[in-house]
Amino acid sequence: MRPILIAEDERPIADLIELTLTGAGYACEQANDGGTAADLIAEHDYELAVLDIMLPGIDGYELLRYLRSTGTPVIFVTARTTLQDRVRGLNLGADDYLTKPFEPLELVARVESVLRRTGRANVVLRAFGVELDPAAHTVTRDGQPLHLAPREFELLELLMRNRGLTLYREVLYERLWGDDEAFDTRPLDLCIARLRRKLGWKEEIHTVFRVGYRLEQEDAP
Amino acid sequence: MKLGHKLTLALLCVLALVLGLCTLWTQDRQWERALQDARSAALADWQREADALQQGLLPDDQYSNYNEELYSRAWRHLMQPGAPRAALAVYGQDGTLLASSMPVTLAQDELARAVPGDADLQLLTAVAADGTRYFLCSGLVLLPEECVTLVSAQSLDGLFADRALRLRDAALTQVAALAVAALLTLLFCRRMVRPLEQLEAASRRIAAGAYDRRTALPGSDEIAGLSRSFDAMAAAVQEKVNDLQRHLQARDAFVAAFTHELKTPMTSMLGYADLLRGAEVPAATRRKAADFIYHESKRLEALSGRLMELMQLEHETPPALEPVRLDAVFRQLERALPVGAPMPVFADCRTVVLAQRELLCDLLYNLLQNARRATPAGGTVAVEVQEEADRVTLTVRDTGCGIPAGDLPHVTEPFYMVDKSRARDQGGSGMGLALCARIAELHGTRLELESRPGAGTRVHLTLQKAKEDGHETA
Repeated sequence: MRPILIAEDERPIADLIELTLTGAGYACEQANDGGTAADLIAEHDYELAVLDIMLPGIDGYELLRYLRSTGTPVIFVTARTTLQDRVRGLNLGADDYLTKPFEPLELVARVESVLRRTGRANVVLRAFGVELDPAAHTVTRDGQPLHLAPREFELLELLMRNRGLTLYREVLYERLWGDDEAFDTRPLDLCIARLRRKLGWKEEIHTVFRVGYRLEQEDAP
Repeated sequence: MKLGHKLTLALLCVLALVLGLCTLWTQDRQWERALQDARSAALADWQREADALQQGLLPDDQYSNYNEELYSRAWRHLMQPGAPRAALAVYGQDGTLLASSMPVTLAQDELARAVPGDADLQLLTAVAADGTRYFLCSGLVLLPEECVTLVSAQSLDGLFADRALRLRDAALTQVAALAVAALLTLLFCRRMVRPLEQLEAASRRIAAGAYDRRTALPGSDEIAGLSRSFDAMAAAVQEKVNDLQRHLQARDAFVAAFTHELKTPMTSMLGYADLLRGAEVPAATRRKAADFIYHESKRLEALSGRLMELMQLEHETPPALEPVRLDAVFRQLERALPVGAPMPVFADCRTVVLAQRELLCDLLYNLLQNARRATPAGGTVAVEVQEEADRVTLTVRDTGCGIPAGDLPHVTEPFYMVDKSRARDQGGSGMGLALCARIAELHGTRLELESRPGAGTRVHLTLQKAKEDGHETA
């Protein structure tokens, strides 16, 4: 799979995007100004480009035109939030438009949705014989389709995306049930139990006592 | 009711009144004269008749009866055919009627008022039963045998008929004149009122938002004057409105720039925090994320401080300028600037300028820090002073990277950064030059920048020299 181009002049944000996308399993290349980005576009072929609009040198709109000629899908990431900016970006042919500040998960979701829509790649998450297709919202185990409740599906997706990392229970709860004041993580534990039963997993979802849950790597015991 | 109509009506009323009074007065005078004429005619008539009577009543026969004779002679005289006579009556000495050719409508008691006549002629007015008016003229006529009273009556009918005719004519003329005058006045008032209508229309347009609308009425009367001051007012309003709009636009641009400036650190802080709190990430990532969050927060903090400063300066009235010795300012700056290369070189100068010391220090500090950031360790940063008769020009000069010509006009705008990542790495907020420009403005002057990319930048600031060099605040 070809890498994703990140054209963003703010180093911290460029790093953040790279970190997020690398974590989701994509290779990335960074350009911190318009000129570098244009050179990279001329030399390499990219799966997708994440562009800031206000770039020094050559701006995002200009880069978008170069990229249209190669057929590379584009997502704008920008602090400009006025409707005109949005309309202009989308009119010029950007595939999506993400405003700062954004959450990393949101970025991954947009990237995947654009990739699927443009027929570039259909991401399927795999673990222990279970396949999850985030775009189609389907889960199969050894080729057999499984029925999961929406929250169970979201939970499984989170676990599979952050494989090998311990996810904190409070944050998991917040992401699935929303920022609720009545904070009670028991529904989360029940959801994990149901997931384990349906998938036939026991040790694959590891409970880190009082901390959270972790989906083990394939080669782990 | 419209002003034009009111004016027309008022003018017409005045005109009618004046015309009426004039007509009445002239008619009255004419009537007086006519009466006078009639009176003298009546008297003359009476005199003639009296003479005729005296002649006619002379007794032609010495022996005849006096009384009878007189009676019949009077009748004969009055009834004498030929010469038409006025209406006459002859009374005896004792007031008895001797003879009369008076019209029958004239009552006897009316006539009796004139009897007995006097040595002087007397003139009375009598009204007959049919309404005809007569002048009665009576007086004594001396006859040889006795004194008789002759009364003559002159009809005033013709006089009254004349007067009625003349009055009717005058009334008709007056009505016609008033009608013509009404028409002319209406047209005239319309003309007079038209400029007012134009003014009214213009003010309504302006109220509706057409601020460029003007009236510019010609002439030199009060309305033209009103139009001129109205236009002046409209111009002032337009200027104010434009000013406000410009101000609002500047404010909007500032807020937009500020929000944009906030969003960048917010995005990385939010993103990295989200990364950290969701899962146990590898140590290297954690360190990197925490580092970013820390630095971005620092940057926000610096930005808010700078913003506060600018806001305060924005609302400040120009400070009281006092004599400030430049070498004192330079010493203070030398102490305040953080250590590092290149250290600025200050001109040796004891000139006293008019300034607010703290603000001037702040301005030079900002300019020097900018210059130092742009200049490599081996380069030069210097403050030079150039004196003129009553002004002093301070120049902050560096041999740094310079500012591209396209960016030069924008560098004093808040949040404008020529090289964002370099500026941020060095702790720049994009507010420094905006602050400097504002301080210069408070000193009644402005920053002048000249720069050649690769060769360096010069920033000039011209201040007033203090009048008395003796007074110093060192």
